[in-house]
Parts: sequence; C-alpha cells; structure tokens
Amino acid sequence: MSKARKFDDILNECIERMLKREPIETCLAAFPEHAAELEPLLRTAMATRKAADIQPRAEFRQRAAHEFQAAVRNLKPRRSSSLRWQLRLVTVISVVVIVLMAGTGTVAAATNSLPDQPLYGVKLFTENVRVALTPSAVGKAELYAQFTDTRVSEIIKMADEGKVAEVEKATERMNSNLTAITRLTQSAGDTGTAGGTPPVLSSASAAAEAPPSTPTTMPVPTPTTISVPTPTTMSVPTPTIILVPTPAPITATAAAPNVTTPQALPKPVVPPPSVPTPVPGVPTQAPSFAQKVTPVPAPTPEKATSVNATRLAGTQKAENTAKNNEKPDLQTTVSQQAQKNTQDLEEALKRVPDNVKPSLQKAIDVAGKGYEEALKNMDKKR
Amino acid sequence: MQSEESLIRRAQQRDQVALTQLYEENFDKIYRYICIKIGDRTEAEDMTQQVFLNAIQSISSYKSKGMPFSSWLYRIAHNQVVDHLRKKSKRITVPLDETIPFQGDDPRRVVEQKLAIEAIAAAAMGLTRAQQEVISLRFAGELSVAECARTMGKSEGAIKALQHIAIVALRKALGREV
Repeated sequence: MSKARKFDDILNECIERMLKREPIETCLAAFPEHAAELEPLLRTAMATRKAADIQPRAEFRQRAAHEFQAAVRNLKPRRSSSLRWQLRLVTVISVVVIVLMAGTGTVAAATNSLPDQPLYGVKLFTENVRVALTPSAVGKAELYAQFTDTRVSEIIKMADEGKVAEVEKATERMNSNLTAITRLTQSAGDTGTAGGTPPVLSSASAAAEAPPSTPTTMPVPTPTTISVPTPTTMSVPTPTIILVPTPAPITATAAAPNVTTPQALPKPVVPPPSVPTPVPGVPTQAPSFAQKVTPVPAPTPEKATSVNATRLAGTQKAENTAKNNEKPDLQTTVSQQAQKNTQDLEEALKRVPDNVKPSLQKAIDVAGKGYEEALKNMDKKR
Repeated sequence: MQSEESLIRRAQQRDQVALTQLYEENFDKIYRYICIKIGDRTEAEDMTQQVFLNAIQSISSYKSKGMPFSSWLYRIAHNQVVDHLRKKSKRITVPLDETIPFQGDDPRRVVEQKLAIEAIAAAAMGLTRAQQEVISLRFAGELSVAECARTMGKSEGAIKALQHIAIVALRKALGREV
C-alpha cells in the first residue's frame, strides 16, 4: 500500500470517528506519527460538518410535510402488475378488432360506392389490390372483365343522374380495364405453358394449349430413315425448327408414324439452343406451348380442327375439359359481357338527359371497340 | 436493506405510509445536502420540497441496482442544484434569508450557522464537481465511503483520495481560518 493511500485511509478513519462525535484529539493520539498532518485537516472537516449540521426550520418542516401528504393523497393507487397487463392486452385486442371491423366495413361499404361518392377511392384501391394479389395473367384478365362490368354499371348510373364528368371518367376507367384485358390475354398466350398451370382462354385455345398426347417427343428425320411427325407437331411449326424449303402441309390423314420416306422431307435446320441436335433413334423433347403458339399464324379451320382434335387427346385434355365444365372461360364471359353491356348502354342512351348523351355515346363506342379488341385478341389464340 | 426494499416496493404501489416513512428518513439529509451546496437555506427549503414531490411522481420507475434509496434522492437533488445554479448565474438575486429572520431558533446561532454555511459553500465553489460531491455526501448527507462510492460510481479508494484532496482544498479556500 502506498504512503498516500495509507494516509487517505487514516484520514478517513479519523473522519468516521469525528462523525460519530469522537473528539479530534482521540484520533490524533491514535496516529501520533501523522498527528501534525491530520490535525488541520480534521479541524476543517469538523468545521464543514458543523456548518452542515443544520436542521430545517420547524415552520418549513411542517409546511413541507403538509404539501407532501397532499401530493401523496392526490396520487392514484396503482393497479397490480398482472391487472395492468390484462388491461393492456384487452386494449390491444380491442384496437385490432375495431380496426379490422372498420376496415372490413369500409371496404364493404365502398363496394357499392359510385364515382361521386367519398368511398369510391377505396373501391378502386381494393380493385387494384385484388389485381396485384392475383398471380396469373388470366386471373387478372378475369378481374378486369369484372371491373369493366362494374364501370359500365357506374356509367349508366351516372348518366341517369346527368353527371357528364363522372360518365367520362368512368369511361376512361372502363377503357383502361378493357385495354388491360387485351394486354393480359396476349401475355397469357405468350407465356401460356411456360410454367405452371396453363391458363384457360377458351375451350378451343385450352385444347390448343394442351401438350400433345402423342408423341411427347418429336421423331427426328434422318437422311435414311425419317420418322414422320404426328400431325400435331408438324401442322403447327415451331419457331425454332425451320424447314427449308417449307414442306407441303401435312394433315391428319397424312400422318402416319414411322413411315420411311428418305427423300420426302428436307434436312431440318435446328438453331441452338432451343432444340437439341437431333440424334437418330433418340426422341427429342417436344417444343413447349409458348414456342409453338407465339409466332404461329392462325391455322386454317381445317388445320385447327385437326390440331385440336389431336391435342385434346389424353389426360391433359380430360383435365382441361373438366376445368372448362367448372367455370366459363374468359372469352365466353367477355363475349357475354360485351353483348349485355353494349345493350344496357344503348338502352340507357335512350332515356338519359340530352347533355349526357354525347358522353354516353362515347362510352358505347369505347366499350364496343375495347371488347372487340379483347375478343379479337382472344380469338387469335385459338 | 431488505426492509428498505420492501418499503420501496410498497411506496411504488403508492402506499402512503411507506412514502411518508421514506420522506421522514431522508428529509433532513437532503435538506442539508442542498444547503451546503448552494449556501442558501431558504432556497434549499424550496428545492428540498421539490425533490420529494419529484420523487413521488417517478418512484414507480425507481430501480434499486444495489444502491441505497437515498442515492436516488441525492441524484434528484444534485440535478436540481445544477439547474438552480445555472439559472442563478443568469440573474441577480437577493437571498430571501437576508430579509426574513428565522423564528424560534437562537438568532446568534442562526447567524453563525448562516455564515458558516455560506463560507463553506463559497469555498466549495473552488473545488471540482467530484470533490464538491464527496464533501456534500459525506458531511451533509452522512453517507459512508462505500455508499458514496456506489452513488458516484467510483471505488472506495477513489472516494477516500477525493475526500483528502477536497479537505485540503477547502482548508486552503477558507484561508486556514479553521
């Protein structure tokens, strides 16, 4: 222990004794070797102690105690910890329930709102959310078809009330919905079976989308022995397999598996990497639906019939047929809606005020054109 | 310590008896602590009262952490003193205890005490904050070295050293009158 540390301890011991009302002299006698150094410090400490040894005035003590008691009485008694937690839990649950109820109620109330009503924004927002949460292009197109229906109803109601501006706004929204249907059916066709469940555009297109039942692989012609492809694969040329020169159309009747016709077909040019290089005797993977459909011009009715007849074969055909039996396809729905909505709009045109008629006529034109485009696009997919 | 913990728990549940007991046990010490720091009895009275009013408002958030309850009160008092001195430095005041005579006590003793407090408080102004705190806690608050160490977050050795240096500095500042 250092000398300084030792003196700190001695001084502290003496101060402790002094605070217990021991005379300074006792301490000095206990540490005679440090007495000279200790004495002035202990006297200063004693003076400090005496200065600090004061009592609050009686009046102040009384007043302070009175005010303290008043403050204590004003304190609300605290609830127990568990009760506080229970109350917090109940509060949180109540808030969640209220928010959910308010939210659900608002959305429900907004469903029937019209463009000139405050909750209409909620209605449009809900529609956008529904579209965003729908993964498939066909599902989105179906939703837009449904929203187009709603827009037509809104146009008619606003027109009946003579609200030109609202009719025009609703017409714009309807146009957007119809454009979306056209765009989505295009993309649905483009990406049809690229992955996952094939979208159902129509009965005919569903059949066209179904992968060929036979063969699942494409026979590859060789210089000596050519396996003649089935009508399905040959009547719908793929974008990746280019036959030079274009062979004569092969119909279903011409289809005969494993016919050896050494000079009948030219050597195919197969650009990589879409289709693997054909190897004699080894079946090659059939092209996907997307590969087949995208760049292909609409087949003739005769070809389409033969194609569909072929593609509807097998398990996939059965599945798609079952699917089509459950739910009307998009094309049918849109077609029916187009007819009904145009009819409704035209009927409304007869009764609405004159100032709304030009806007309503425009709505009819937009609806007609939009539906026509959408249906034409779907028809292309057949 | 166990009984103090129990007392504090009851006080935190707004038990009036427990709150009053804690008040009674610490009132004089806090008053002295403030007095020796600011050197003004009247202002020390108001501030002492405020320390306890603040304490009962925030006692529910008090956590012992192994330190005596008085440490928490001294911290409140210290903050109030710092705040008071900051405000005081911005304005000129006439101490009330120069105009209002103390009643009931021996006037001569009161004056002597007043002068002694003022002298100590003035001398302590020349000390460092840590030295001032040790003097206030040890001689006014009557805390032991161990309690001071816990309150100030220092070792006992450091508190003893600070105490020594502070007394030397005080003696020097008081002009060796004592």
